[in-house]
Amino acid sequence: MSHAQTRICRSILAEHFGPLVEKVCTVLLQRGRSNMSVLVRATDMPPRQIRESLFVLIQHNIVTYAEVPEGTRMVVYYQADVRNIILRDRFPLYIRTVQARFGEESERILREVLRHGRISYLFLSQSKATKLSREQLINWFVRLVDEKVLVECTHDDSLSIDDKRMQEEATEVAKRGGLPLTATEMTKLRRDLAQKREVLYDDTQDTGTKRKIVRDLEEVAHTKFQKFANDDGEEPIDGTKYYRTNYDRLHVYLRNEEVAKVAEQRINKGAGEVVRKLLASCEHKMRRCKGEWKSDAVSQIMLASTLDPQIPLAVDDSSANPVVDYLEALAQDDTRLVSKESEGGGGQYAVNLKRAGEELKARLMESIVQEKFGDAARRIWRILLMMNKLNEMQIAKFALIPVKEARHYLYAMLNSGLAFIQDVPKTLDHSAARTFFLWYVSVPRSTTIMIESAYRTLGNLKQRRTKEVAARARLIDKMQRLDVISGEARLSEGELKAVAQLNQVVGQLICTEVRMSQFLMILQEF
Amino acid sequence: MSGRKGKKVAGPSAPASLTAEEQTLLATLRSHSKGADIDTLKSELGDWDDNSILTCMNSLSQKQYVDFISLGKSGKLAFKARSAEEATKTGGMKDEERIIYRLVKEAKNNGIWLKQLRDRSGLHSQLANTVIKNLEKKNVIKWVKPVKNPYKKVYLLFELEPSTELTGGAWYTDNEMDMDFIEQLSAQVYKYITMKSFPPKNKDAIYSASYSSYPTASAIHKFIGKSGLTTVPLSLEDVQSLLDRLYYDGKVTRIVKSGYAESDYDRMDTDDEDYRDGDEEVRDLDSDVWMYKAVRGWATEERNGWTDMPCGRCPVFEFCSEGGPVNPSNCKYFKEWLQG
Repeated sequence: MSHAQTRICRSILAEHFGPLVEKVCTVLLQRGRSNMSVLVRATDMPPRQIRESLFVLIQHNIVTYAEVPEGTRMVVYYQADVRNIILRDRFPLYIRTVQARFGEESERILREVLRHGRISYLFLSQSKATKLSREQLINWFVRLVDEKVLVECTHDDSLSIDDKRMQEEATEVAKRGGLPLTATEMTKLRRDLAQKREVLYDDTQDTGTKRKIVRDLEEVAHTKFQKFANDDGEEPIDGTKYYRTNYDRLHVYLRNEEVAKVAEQRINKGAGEVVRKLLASCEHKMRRCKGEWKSDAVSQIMLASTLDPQIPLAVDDSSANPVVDYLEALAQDDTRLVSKESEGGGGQYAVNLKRAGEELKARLMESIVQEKFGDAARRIWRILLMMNKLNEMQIAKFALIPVKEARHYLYAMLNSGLAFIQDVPKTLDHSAARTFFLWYVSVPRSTTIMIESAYRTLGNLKQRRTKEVAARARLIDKMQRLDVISGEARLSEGELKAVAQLNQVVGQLICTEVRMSQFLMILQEF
Repeated sequence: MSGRKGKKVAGPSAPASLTAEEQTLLATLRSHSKGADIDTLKSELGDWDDNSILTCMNSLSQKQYVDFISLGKSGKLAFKARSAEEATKTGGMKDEERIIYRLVKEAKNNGIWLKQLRDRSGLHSQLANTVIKNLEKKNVIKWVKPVKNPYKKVYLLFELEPSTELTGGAWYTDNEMDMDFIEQLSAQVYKYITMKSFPPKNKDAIYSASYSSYPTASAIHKFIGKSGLTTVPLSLEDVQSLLDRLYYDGKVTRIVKSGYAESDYDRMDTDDEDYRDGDEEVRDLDSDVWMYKAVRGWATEERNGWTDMPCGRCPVFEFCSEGGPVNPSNCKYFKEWLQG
C-alpha cells in the first residue's frame, strides 16, 4: 500500500470516525492482518477502546475478521479493506445517482444505510430519520433491494477474504491427501476456486426481502422478534435482516450513465437516450463494472419501444426508422461504443462495455494532456493512441509540427506518465546510437500512474481543508456558542465576512474533492 | 568504341555551327527522347553506314550536342541528344565544370549534397570547390538549405525549383514550419466541414447512416482553391495532411464513402474539365475513399477535475509532500486558486 493511499485513508477515517478509530485502522492498514495483542502494542490504547473501534469498523464494512486456531486457542485476526475506505469519499456520487434514478424517497433510505453501514429494516422503520410513511418506506426499500442497490449482509461479509481463501485452499489440499502441492498445481487450484466463487456469486445472497419460513427456536423465543413472528403475513420485509449498500451495483449505474453521456456529447441527446436504454435492457444482470465485456444484444424494434418519447430522435428528411439511423451513427462513431451484433430482428445492437471503460479513461487522459500541455500535445497523444508505436520523426510528420516541438511535448508527457518509450536495439550491445526509440501511450499503464496522482491530490485537498478550518477554529467555536445560535449575541461585520469566506473556500475544496473522487472512480472501477 | 574515345578527346571548344549531316543526325536523335542505339539510327537513316554515323556522332559529341548513355539492362551503347539550350550552356564549359554539371543535373530537383558532389566528381577537393563556385557565379547551379538538415548545402540546377523534400512543401516559409498559417487554414477547413456535417434545417439532428455527401479531400481541396484563403498553391496531399491533422485533433472523423467505385465511374463520364483534372490526382492518392465529418463533444472542458485545480498543473507536484518544505498547507497555488 502506497504512502499516498494510507494518507487519504487516514484523513477519511479521522473525518468520519474520529481519532481513535483512525489510529486502530491505520495500524491495520500499515501492518496488514493483525490480532488483538498486536493492536494493543501498536496503538498503546486500552483493549476496550480498540474493541469498540473495531466494532465501528466492522459495522461500516471496513474491517473483516477471521478466527484461526493456533494450537489450542482460537485467535482472531483483523484486516482492513482499503477500497471500502476510499470509496467513502464517493458517497455524494452514490446519493446523487440513486436520487436521479429512484427519486427522493430512495435517496433518504440510502443516506441512512450509508450513515449506519449496516442497517436492519426494523431499525430503519423505528428511527424515523427517513421521514417516510410506512408504505413509502416499504415500497422504496423493497425496490432498492430488488435493484440490488441494497443487499443482505451475510455472515461471510464480516469474514476476511484472505482467510476465507486460505481456508478454502487448505480444505482442497486436505481433500487431495494433505501433501503440499507444487506451484503449478497451486495456481490451477486458485484459478478453479476463483471460477467457483464467480459461479456461486448470486447464491450467497438471498433474493427478495421476505422473511424465510425456517426459523430456529431460539429466534422465535426471543421477545424482540415475537411481534414479527406474529404478524408475519402483513410485514413484507424481514425486520431482522441486515442490509448494506452494494457499491458494485452503484458503480454500474454511474458507469452506464457516464457512457450515455459520452454518446450525448458526441452526437446529441437522442443518441444518449438510445445508449441509456440499450444498457438498461440488461442492467439487472450487471454485477460489477469489470465483469462484462458486452451488453446483451437488443433488436432495434425492442429498443424503440423502451425509448422515452419526450426525447426526439431528429434525422434530416424525417427517416423511416430513426432508431436504426441513430444506432448506425453510434456504430460509425470513432468511440465504437455500439456495435451491430447480428442482422436478426431488424438488426441487433450491443454496447461494448470493455471498450467503453477504456474510452472513458482515454477521454480523461486526453483532457489532462490538453489542459497540461496544449493542443499539439493532445494531437500527439491521440496519434500514438491510434497508431501504437512511432518514432519522433513520424509523429512530427503526422501532427504537422516541427520535430523539435514534438520532442518537447513527448518528453513532457513522459515525465507525467502519459507517454512511454520503447527501445528497439539494432545490435546486441544496446548502444544508444544504434537503437530505435519508439514512443507509445498505454491507457492501462497511465491509469496506474494517474490513480497514484489522484490519491496524492485528494490527500492534498483534505490537508488543505483541515488547515483552512483549523485556522478559523475560534470563529467556528464562537458560531457554535449557544448565545450566538439563539441570536442573543451577534457576529461582528468582520466575522460575518470571514464566515462567508470560509464557507466559500471549504465549499470549493469539498466540491473539488468530489470531482477528484469521481476521477479516481473512473480510473479504478470502470 | 570510337564513341568513348571521342568523349575523351573532347576538348574545350566553342559552339560551332553544324554541318548538314550533323544536323540531320541530331534531328533524328531528338525524335528519340529516351535515346537511340546505332541500329535504330541506321534503320532510320537508310543510306548512312556505321562509319559515317560514328564520325558524325563524335563531332556532335565534341560540340556537346550528344550524350553517350547505356540503354536497358544490357548496357548497350546509345546516344541521346541534348536540348539546344543545354548544348549552348555546356558547350562553353571546361571538362571539370562539365563533370560537376552532370552530377548536379542527375540529382534533379532533389539536389546533391556538397560533400557527395566533391567525392563523386573525383576531382581534387580544392579544384572542385573553385569549379562549383564558378558555376554558381555563372548562374548555372545554385544551392539551398534543406529543411530537414539546414547545415547541409545542397546543389541543384539554377533553373529548377527545389523539391518538396528539400523545402518541406507548402507548410514551410523560409525553412521554418509556418504554424500560424497551418492553424488558420485548418480552422477554415474545420468550419467548412462543420457546415457540411449537420442538416441545415435542424443543426441538432443527424443525417441518416447512408448519407454520403460529407466533403471529401478533393472537395475540400477545391474549396480552398476557390475561396482564395491562401496564395500558396496547395496540392491534394497538403490538403490531406491538413485533414489528417484535424482528424488526429479529434475535431473531425472520417467515414468510408459508400459506393466509392461507382461515383468515381460516374464522374469520368462528365464533361466537366475541373472534375477530370481533380480525378487524375485523386486516383493517385485514393483519398476520396474518406468523407470527413465534424464531431461534437471534442472539447475537453469538464472532463476531469484534476487539471481544474492547482495540483493537476503543479510544477512541483512530485516534490510536494505532507510535511515537506512544499506542502499543501502553505501552497501558494492553492491560495491563489481559493481566493480567485
